[in-house]
Amino acid sequence: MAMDSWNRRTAIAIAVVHTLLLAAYTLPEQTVPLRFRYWSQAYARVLFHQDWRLFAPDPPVCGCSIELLGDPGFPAVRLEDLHGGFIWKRMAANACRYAEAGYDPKRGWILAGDALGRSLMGMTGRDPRSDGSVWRVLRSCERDTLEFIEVRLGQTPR
Amino acid sequence: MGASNVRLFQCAVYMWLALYVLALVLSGEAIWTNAPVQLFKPEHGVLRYTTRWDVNLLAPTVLVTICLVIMAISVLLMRRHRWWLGLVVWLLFRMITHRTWLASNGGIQLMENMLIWCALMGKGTHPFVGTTAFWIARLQLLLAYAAAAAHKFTGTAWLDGSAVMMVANDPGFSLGWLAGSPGLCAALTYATLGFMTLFPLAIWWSPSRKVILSIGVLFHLATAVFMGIPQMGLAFIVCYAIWLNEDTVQRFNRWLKRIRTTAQAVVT
Repeated sequence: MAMDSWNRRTAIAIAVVHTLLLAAYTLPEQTVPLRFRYWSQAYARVLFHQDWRLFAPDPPVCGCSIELLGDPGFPAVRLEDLHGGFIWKRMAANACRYAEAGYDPKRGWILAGDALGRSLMGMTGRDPRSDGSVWRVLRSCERDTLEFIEVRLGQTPR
Repeated sequence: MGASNVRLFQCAVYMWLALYVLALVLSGEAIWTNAPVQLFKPEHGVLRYTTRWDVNLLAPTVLVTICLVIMAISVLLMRRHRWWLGLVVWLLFRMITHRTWLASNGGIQLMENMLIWCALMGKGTHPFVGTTAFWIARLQLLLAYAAAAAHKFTGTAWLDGSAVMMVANDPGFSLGWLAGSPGLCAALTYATLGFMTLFPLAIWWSPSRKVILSIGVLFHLATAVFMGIPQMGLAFIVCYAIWLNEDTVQRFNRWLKRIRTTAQAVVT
């Protein structure tokens, strides 16, 4: 079925408007007018969500790894080493970055939200509230500089 | 909009999808986590009453079954495209990515968006819908690069040339071998920034398109091999098909046919 040039131009115009709305949703906040940003969020968040802050604005300064301290006397195990495969490695890395964002400097530990807490319980098969295990984030900021931060559950996972 | 590049794009996208869900199935039960938000749950409007249907309630065996269904439909769609089946596979994929939210990255998000438009283009849909979907898919790829570059310009590490060195020092990526070469790291930082900035511009002219797509393939293969994120690199590469012109696709198809014939001759 052929399409006349008017319909073709209209189709392209719709595509351009859609892309402009997504651009307002994904471009850096300071480059988009506030009202346009609000409209774009209402339009894009549910069906067209995307985030292109890939190693931006700057890559993380420190390496990040979640460790599980299980039974007493046994060494800590890194989350990424619990299973194999590139998907698991990415999940472990993302979990650590999410956990890192929950760091509370006043308390000196990380508050894991409900979703992260439940996900870590699923990934490690352990529950720190009942089995005495400990999750901690290992940050390696420079060579030979290591920092351990305990991860605690912020809410009671359902 | 050509029929052959649309078909190549659809086949490439569904092949990526089948391989990715296969990798999910092979990763084991521990990957099925609980998502922080409910799928398709808007904050406003009548759809906010759809909260009873929660993907988080699905058991791992159901999720594995959904993965197998996605693989089967993807193979079917590679043979013969049906727009409604494409939308079904997109919906199923959203359920899977929802329950593997910690595995999300740019490649997965790109595919979550591309699958909608991939379903709506081609012979089975009205030309107006197909043309709209085709151009949205094309512009979506450019937006990904433009937005990634724009965010990098707001920082300091990409502008002072230290970004790749910072990534090389992160033990989470297998780039430690680069950390001893600061000059190479700075060159790669600026090359990456230049590539992402130029991609949305260079794609519009045939000679520069060939160059930028070739660089892009090398760039994404490098991220797949050296950074351990093949799902992301390959997601971008398969989406390049939507920007190929008819001649290139015809040549590619002839090349594939020759390979297939040679392989059959070797086997027999």
